[in-house]
Amino acid sequence: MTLNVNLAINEGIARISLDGRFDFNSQRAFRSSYDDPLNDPEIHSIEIDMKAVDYLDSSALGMLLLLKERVEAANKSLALANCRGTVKQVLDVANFHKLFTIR
Amino acid sequence: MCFPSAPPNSVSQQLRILVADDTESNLLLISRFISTLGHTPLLARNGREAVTQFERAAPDMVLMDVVMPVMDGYQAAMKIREISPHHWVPIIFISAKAEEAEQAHGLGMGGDDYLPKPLNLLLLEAKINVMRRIAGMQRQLEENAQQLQTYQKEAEEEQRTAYALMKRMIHTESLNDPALRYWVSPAKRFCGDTVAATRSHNNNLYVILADATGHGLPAALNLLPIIQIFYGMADKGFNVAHIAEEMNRRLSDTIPTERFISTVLACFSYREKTIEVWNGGNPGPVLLSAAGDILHQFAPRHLPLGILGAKAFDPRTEIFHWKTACQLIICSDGLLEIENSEGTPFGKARFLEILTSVPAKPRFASLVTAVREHMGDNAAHDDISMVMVDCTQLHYPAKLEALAPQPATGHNGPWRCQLTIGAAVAKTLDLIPLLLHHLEAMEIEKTKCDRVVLIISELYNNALDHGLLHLDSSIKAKPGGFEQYLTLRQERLENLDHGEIETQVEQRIIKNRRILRICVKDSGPGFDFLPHLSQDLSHNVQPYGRGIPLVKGLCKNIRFVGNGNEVIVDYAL
Repeated sequence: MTLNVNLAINEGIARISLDGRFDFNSQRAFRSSYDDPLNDPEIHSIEIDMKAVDYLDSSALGMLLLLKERVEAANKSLALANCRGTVKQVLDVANFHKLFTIR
Repeated sequence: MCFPSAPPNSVSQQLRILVADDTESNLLLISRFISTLGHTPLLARNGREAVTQFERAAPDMVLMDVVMPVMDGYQAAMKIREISPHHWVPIIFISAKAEEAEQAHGLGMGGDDYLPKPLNLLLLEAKINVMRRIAGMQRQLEENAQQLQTYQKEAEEEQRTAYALMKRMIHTESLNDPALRYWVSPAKRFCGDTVAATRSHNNNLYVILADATGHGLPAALNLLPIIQIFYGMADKGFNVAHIAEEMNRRLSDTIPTERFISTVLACFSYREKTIEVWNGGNPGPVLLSAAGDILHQFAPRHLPLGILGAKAFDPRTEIFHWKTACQLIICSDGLLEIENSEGTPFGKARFLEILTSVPAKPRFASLVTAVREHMGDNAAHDDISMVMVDCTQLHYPAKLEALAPQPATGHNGPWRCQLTIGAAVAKTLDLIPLLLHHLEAMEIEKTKCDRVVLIISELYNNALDHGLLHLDSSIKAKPGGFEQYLTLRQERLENLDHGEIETQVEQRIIKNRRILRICVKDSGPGFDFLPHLSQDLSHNVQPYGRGIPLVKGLCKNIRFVGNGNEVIVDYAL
């Protein structure tokens, strides 16, 4: 099972929608999705849409931490959107609401 | 590292081609033609000669007549394949028997292609070139396979060494504690989960369950620094918050951003009947009564270790005070996520269902069996680990009576040290490691050291709680009182702005015996100590008031001075 990544840009917001299983194997797909928006001066914030993510493991959490570091270095903002069910649970257990804006 | 000397990806331009034919004119024609193409012909006049030549000269290709005396071409081809089962050399049959069935038979006998007689030399040249290309690719594959095999052997050897090393560093024998049961099931050879336990000087049991991001060797490597810190600090009796803080500091300095460690660090005190937990990112240890009621769940209050910097790190712990027999179960998220053949995770609901429906004794084993059954033959995605601590098995050391005086060893002369702690320092001081360090330097043997530390920390805590913080122990007797006591203690400690505690330890030599005189004095108003002195420890069913009788049991004598704000005890070394 793989993760499908879709990027949409609207009024300075890059929305990266994830679909499928977000784990160690999605590393490359996920990382390559945010390179362009990070380098784009027109974009001020990045939103990760987790609506269609059905599984999230600790390496995925690690990838989110890495993204956060890059976003902060680029002076942009980051939010995790549509976190529900298992995804929400995993984020709660890891206390990621202390680090991320979760919507 | 060593690479094969031949250039990869091609058989050299000049080939050595074995030609087998019993007709001299054919042999001459083909070998001449081969020479003009720039290759070297090797000649054989029947099948047997061909086999001998093949063994001797190891050619790059074979052109074989089918009908020959002594041994025919098919038999010779089969022999050649037997001789060289792993190294492929193309064999092309040349025959006047040109029917399709005959050709198919020849290919079945180990040939790679078929050329009809009379020989078309243009076609022969083309076939030689095709075979050369295929042989080149084949050789490349063989070389790659060989290299992979070498890498694999090297990697396995390295892993074996690393595994042996890590096993020693995590020393699992400390997990053989009567109060503890554990189960660790790695997804790969190296486990990114670890469970460790150790007893401190005053017999508190420290347990850690840590789950590093990912699995395999990189995950396992990230665990090493925190395991070392765990043993180093827990043995010396550092408090849970300090240990967690130090682990986080080390990790945030060393591991990459995307890696972190979900950790439960717990300290069990049988004497205080407390469990103190720091939980960063673990699904939550569950405390169960013997009957299977859930008494408490230690929710994950913090981020995992290794994410926050030292300044932002929150070391606050949660303390639970138990009253009756209970068991604490801690597991990694891998256990809850383990999937069966239909892809259904084991899940928290099933986990709690088993824990609450099985009696205390077979509880742990039942859970392990259930997880194994659920998992079936499926390989786990993640490491699984679980540990259970049975609070009824945490026994305080059986012998509390004072040790009979032994002939003095170690530093025999008198010495004295005094430590005065003001309000500001009292808020954060971890007294025990400090004392241990000093006493060990004074060459007091380990078991006695532990007792001395126990005595001093009892007296110091009394001075702090009652002398400086004015706490009343009887609060502990009310329902929920222990938690209330601890909350109150925390609040008052944070607001403490005056007062001091003076601790003095003095070694006296009396009739050639070493006696430690310990004196603890606080700036508080003192207390009515007489009822405490007459208490018998074994009959105390109250959740408080054990401290002084305990000290009394360990020492030659105990004496309160003034209003009770100063206490002096003698301990024979």
